Amino acid sequence: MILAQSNMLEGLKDQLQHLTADIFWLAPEVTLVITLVLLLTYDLIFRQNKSVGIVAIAIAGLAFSTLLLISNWSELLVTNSLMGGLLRLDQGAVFFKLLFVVGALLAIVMMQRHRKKDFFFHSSEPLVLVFGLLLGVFLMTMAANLLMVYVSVELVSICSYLLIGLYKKKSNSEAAIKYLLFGAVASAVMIYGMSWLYGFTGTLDFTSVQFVNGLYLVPILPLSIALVMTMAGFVFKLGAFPFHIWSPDVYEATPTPFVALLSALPKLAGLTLIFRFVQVLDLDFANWQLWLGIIAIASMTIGNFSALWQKDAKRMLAYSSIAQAGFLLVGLIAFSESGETAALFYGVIYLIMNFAVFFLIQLFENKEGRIPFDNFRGKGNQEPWIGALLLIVMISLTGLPPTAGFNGKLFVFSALWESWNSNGQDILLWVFIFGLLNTVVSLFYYLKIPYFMFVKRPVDELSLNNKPQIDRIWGTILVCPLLIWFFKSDGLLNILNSINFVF
Amino acid sequence: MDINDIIIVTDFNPLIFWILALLGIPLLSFFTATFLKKNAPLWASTLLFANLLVAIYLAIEYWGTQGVTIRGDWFGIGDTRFTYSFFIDQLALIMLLVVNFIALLVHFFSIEYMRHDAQKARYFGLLGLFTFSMLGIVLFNDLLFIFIFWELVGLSSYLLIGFWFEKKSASLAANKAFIMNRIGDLGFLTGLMILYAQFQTFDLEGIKSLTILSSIEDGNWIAEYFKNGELVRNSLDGRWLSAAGIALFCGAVGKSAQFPLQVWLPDAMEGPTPVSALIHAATMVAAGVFMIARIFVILDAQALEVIAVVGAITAFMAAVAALSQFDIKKVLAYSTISQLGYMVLAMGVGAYTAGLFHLVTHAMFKAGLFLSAGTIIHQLHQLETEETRFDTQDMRVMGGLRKFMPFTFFCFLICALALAGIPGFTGFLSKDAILLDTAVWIDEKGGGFYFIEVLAFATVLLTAFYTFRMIFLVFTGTFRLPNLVDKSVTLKPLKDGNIFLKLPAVLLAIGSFSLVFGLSFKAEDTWFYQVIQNPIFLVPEPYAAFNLIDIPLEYFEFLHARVVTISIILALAGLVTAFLMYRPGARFATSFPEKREPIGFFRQISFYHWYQNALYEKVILKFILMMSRWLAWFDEKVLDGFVNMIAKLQVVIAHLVAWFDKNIVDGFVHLTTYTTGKVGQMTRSIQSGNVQGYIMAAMAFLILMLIWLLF
Repeated sequence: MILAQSNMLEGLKDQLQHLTADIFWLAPEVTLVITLVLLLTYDLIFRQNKSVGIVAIAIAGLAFSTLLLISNWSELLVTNSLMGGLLRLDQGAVFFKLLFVVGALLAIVMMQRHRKKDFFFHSSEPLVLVFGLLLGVFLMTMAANLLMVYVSVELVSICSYLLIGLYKKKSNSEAAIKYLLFGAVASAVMIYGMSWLYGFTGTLDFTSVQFVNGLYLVPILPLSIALVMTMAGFVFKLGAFPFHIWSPDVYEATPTPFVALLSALPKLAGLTLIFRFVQVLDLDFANWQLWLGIIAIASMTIGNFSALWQKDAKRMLAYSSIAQAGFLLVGLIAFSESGETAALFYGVIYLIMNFAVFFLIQLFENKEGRIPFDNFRGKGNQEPWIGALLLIVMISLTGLPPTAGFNGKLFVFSALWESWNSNGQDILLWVFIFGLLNTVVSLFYYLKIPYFMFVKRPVDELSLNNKPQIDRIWGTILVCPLLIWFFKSDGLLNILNSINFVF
Repeated sequence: MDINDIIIVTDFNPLIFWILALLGIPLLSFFTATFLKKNAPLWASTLLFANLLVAIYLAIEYWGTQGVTIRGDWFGIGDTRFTYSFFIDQLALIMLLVVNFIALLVHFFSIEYMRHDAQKARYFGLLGLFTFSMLGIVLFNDLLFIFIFWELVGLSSYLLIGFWFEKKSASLAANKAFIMNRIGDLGFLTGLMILYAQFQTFDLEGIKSLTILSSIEDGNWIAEYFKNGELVRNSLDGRWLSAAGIALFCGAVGKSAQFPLQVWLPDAMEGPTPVSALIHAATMVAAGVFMIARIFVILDAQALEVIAVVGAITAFMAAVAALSQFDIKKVLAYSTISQLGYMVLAMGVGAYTAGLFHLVTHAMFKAGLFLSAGTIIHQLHQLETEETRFDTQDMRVMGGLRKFMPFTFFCFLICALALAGIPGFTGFLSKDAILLDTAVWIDEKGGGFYFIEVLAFATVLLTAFYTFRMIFLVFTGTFRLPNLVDKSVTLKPLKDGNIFLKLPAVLLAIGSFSLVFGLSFKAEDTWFYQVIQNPIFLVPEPYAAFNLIDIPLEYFEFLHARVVTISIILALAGLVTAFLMYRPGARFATSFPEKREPIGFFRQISFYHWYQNALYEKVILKFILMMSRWLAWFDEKVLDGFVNMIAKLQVVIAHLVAWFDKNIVDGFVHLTTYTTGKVGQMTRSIQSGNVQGYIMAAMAFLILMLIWLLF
C-alpha cells in the first residue's frame, strides 16, 4: 500500500518534473496567457486613453511569443509529447502558430485602420478575446487528446461568439446567438462522437496504440457514425459543408477585422485538426479520401455558386471562404507528401490573401459596417492604387497568374492529380474536375468588385479613411507576397518541405 | 574550275574614275538641269560636251588595248557574291563616242528647237537621265546591271515620248511604248533567270567562261564548276540553252522595235523630234542590237536562226509600211525599224561586225535625217499663227523646200543617200556587208532560208524608193502650204534654221560619207572592220552555229561582186521608180496633196503597217479587255458575292448565336441562377432568424452523408 503510494508519488513527481520541462515548449502559450492577464489588468487600472497602452501590450505580447516560437522552431528536433500526452508539439504546429501570430498582428493592424477604431481600443475586451482565440488555435494545432481537442475548439468558439456579439447592435447579437446555437450543436455532435470513441477504446489519447487497436474491434457502422460525428466539430471550425450555413450571416454583421480573423485562424486550425486526426487514423476502416472529397466538392460548389449572386462584399466573401475551405481540403485529400506541402502553401497564401482582401474592402465600409457592391462604384478612378491592389488580390483568390494564388491552386491540384494517377480513386478525379470548374465560376464574382470599381460610374461620394497613404502602404505590403511568391515560390516551398509532420 | 577564279575582283584601276565621270556627268545634268530653269539648255549641253571629251580621251587612251575589266564586290548573301563589272573594249569605246556625240548634237539642236517650251528644263534633265542610262548599258558587263540600266532607258524613253503629256496621243504613245517594252523585258528577265539558274552569276565574263566549260550530254546542257570549293553540277534540258538566247533576244525585240513588238516606235514620234533622233533612231533602239552583240557568243544556232528570221521580217514589213506614209517622221520611224531589222538580221546570220557597223552608220545618218526633218518641222512651225494651224509633219503641206532651205536639203540628201545605200556613203558600206554575210550564210544553210535573202534584197529596193519619194515630195516641186491655207493669210517666208539647227545636221551629214571609215567601197577594208572582229561562238559543240570566219575568203570574194551589183541595181531601181512616180509634175506627185485614206489592199496594208496595230487592238486588246471585264464581273459578283454571302452568313449565325446565347446560355445561367437562387432562398429562409432550421439542415446533411457513405 505504502509502496504503491510511494510509487504513485514517484510517478507524480516524475510527471511534475515533466510538466516544468514542458513549460519551455509551451512558453509561447504562456506568453499569450500573461499578455491576456496584463491586458485585463491594464484595463482595470487605467480609466482613460487606454488605446495606446493596450496596443503596446498586445504587440509586445505577440512579438515576444513570436521570438519564443522561433526558438521553439530552431530547437525542436523530434515531436514532443507535452502535458502528459494532452498535447504534442511538432514543427508543423510551430509553423502554424507563427502563421496565427501573423494573422493576429494583421487583425490588430486592421482594427487600427478601421473607421471606428475607438470601438476596438476603448477597452481591452476585444484584444483579450483575440488573445483568447489565439490561445485556442494554438492549442488546437497541438491537441492529441480528444478532451483537449474539445476544450481548445470550445475556447476558440466561445471567443468567436463573444467577438461577434461584442458590437452591441441587434444584428450583431442575432448573429452571435445564431453562431452560438449552431456552434453548440456542432460541439454537441462532436463530443457525442468522441464519447462513442472513448467507449470503444477506453482512452482519449487518439495518438496512442490502444486507441487505434480498440477501433479495429468495432463494427464498421457504429465506428463510422462515431468518426463522422467527431469530424463534424472540425468541419464546423473549418467552415465547410455541411456546417457552413452560419458563415454568411455572421460575416455580414461582424466588424471586418474580426471577420478576417475568424475566416483565417479557426479555419486553418480546423484544417490542422482534421489533418492530425486523419493522419493518425489512416486506417482501412475509414475511407477519408471519399469523405473529405465529398465535403470538398460540396463546399466548393455551394460556396462558389452562392457567392455569384451576393450584393454585399462581406457576404460574398463569406461564401468565398466556404469555397476556399474546400480548396484547402484538396491538398489533404491527396494524402501525399507533396499534397501536405501544397496544402500548407495554400494555407499560407490563403491567410495573406484573406487579410489583404478584408483589409482592402474594409476601406469601403459604410457607417453601418456593411460593404454593398455599390460602395465600390467608380472608386478605381479615385483610388487607382487601391483598385489595382484589389484587382491583384481578387485574381489571386480566383487562382490566376501572376499571383501566388495560382501557384497555390496549381500545387494543390497537381498533388491531387499525382495521387489519382497512383491510386485511381474516382473521387479524386471528381474533386479535380469540380475544383477546376469552380475556379472558373469564382472568376465571375471575384472580378465583380474590380468591375464595379473600374467600369461602373460612381453614384455618391463615399470618402475613404483619413490618411489613405497609410492604407496604400499596408495594402501594398499585404499584396507584395502574392506577387513575389508567384515568381519565386521556391524559398517558401523549401521551408514548407523541411517541416516534419510526424505527430 | 572555281567560279571565284573566273570572277575575280580586280585591283584598283584609275580608269574607274573616268567611268564614274562618264556616268556621273549626265546624272548630274539630270539632277541639276531641272532646277536651273532658264540656263538648263546651256548647262546640260556643257556637261554633255565635257562627257564627250571624257569619251574621246578614253578612246585615245584605250584604243589599242584588248579590253579592260574592272570588277568589284557589290554585296553578298551568304556564300553568294554579287559583283559589278565594267568592260571597256573597242566596241564600248565606239558606242561611247557615238552615244555622246549624238547626244551632244541633240542637246545642241534642242537649244533652238525647245527655245520656247516652258518645260525645257525638265526636257534637258530627262535627256541627261537618258544619256546616263544608255551609257550604263554600254559600260557595264554584268547582265543584272545591264538589265537595270535597260529599264532606266525604258523609263526615260517613256518620259520623253510623253514629254508633251497634255496631248492625249503623246501620253498614250508613251504608255504603248512602255508596255511593249515591258513585254520584251519579261523575256530578258526570263533569260537572266535561265542563265543564273545554270551559272549562278550575272557577270558576263563569268557566263561566257562557264558556257565554254559547259557541255551537251544526251541532249542535256550541263554546267560543271566549283563554287566556294564545292562542286556544282547544273543540268538542264539542252533546249534551255536556245531558250536563254531567245529569251534575252526578246528584250532586244522590245527595245529595238522588232517584229512583233515594233508597233510602239511609229507612235513614239509623238515626242519632240530631237528625242526621236537621239532615242528612237540612233541610240536606245540600237541598245537591243548592242545587247545582242554583248551576248552574241553564247547564242546557239537555233536562237540565231530565230533572230535572223525576225530581223528579216521586220526589215521588210517596216520598209513596206514606209512606202505610203504622209507624216515625214512616220516614214523615218518605219525606216528606222527597217534598218534595225537589218542589224538584227546581221546578228542572226553571225555577221557581228557588219551588224555593229550598220548600227554606227545608221546612228549617224538617221540622226541626221531626223534632225533635218526636225529643222523643217521647226521652221514650218514658225509659220503657224493663231488663224492658221496645220500639221507641220505632214508631207502634204511641204514641197519645193529646196529653194527655201538649201542647207537643210543638202544635209538631208546626203543622209538619205546613205540610207538608200548609194555607193560613196556609209549606208552602202554597212548594208552591203550585211547583205554579203547574209548571202554567204544562206548559201551555207540552204533550204527555206532563201526567203530571208529575198526579203533583205527587196528591202533594199523599197528603202531606195521610199527615201527618194520623201525627198521628191518634200524638196522638189512647189511649196504646197500656201495653197492649202486661207488665201487671205500671208505667210512669213520660210528659211533655213540658225546655227543651232544647222551645225548638228551638217556634222551628221559629214559623218555619212563613207570616207569617214576609209577610202574603199568594201566594208572589209574600213578601220571599223579592223577593230571589231567576229568573235567565236562559245556554245558547246552540237548547239553551236557555224561561224562566218570558217568560210574561206574566196567565197566572200566570189559573192561580193554579185551582191554589190544586185544591191546597187536595186537601189538605183528604187531611185528611178521614185523619180518616175514623184518627180515634179508626175502623176503621183500631183495627186499627192489630195490623198487621204489609201485605197486598195496593198496600199492599205502599207499605210496601216500590215494592220498589225489593228490586229493587236482587235484581238489582244479586245481579249484583254474582255478578260478584265470578265474578271471585274467575277470580282464583283463572285468574290464580292462570296464576301457578302459570308457577311450575311455571319449575321445569320450571329442571330442564331444570339438566340442560342439568349435562350440556351442565358437560359443555363438563369437556370443556375434560379437553382442557386432557390438554394439561396432555402438557406435564406433558414437564415432569416430561424436558427433551428439551420441546425436541422446541417444535421440532415450530416445524416444523409452518413447514409450515403455507409450504404
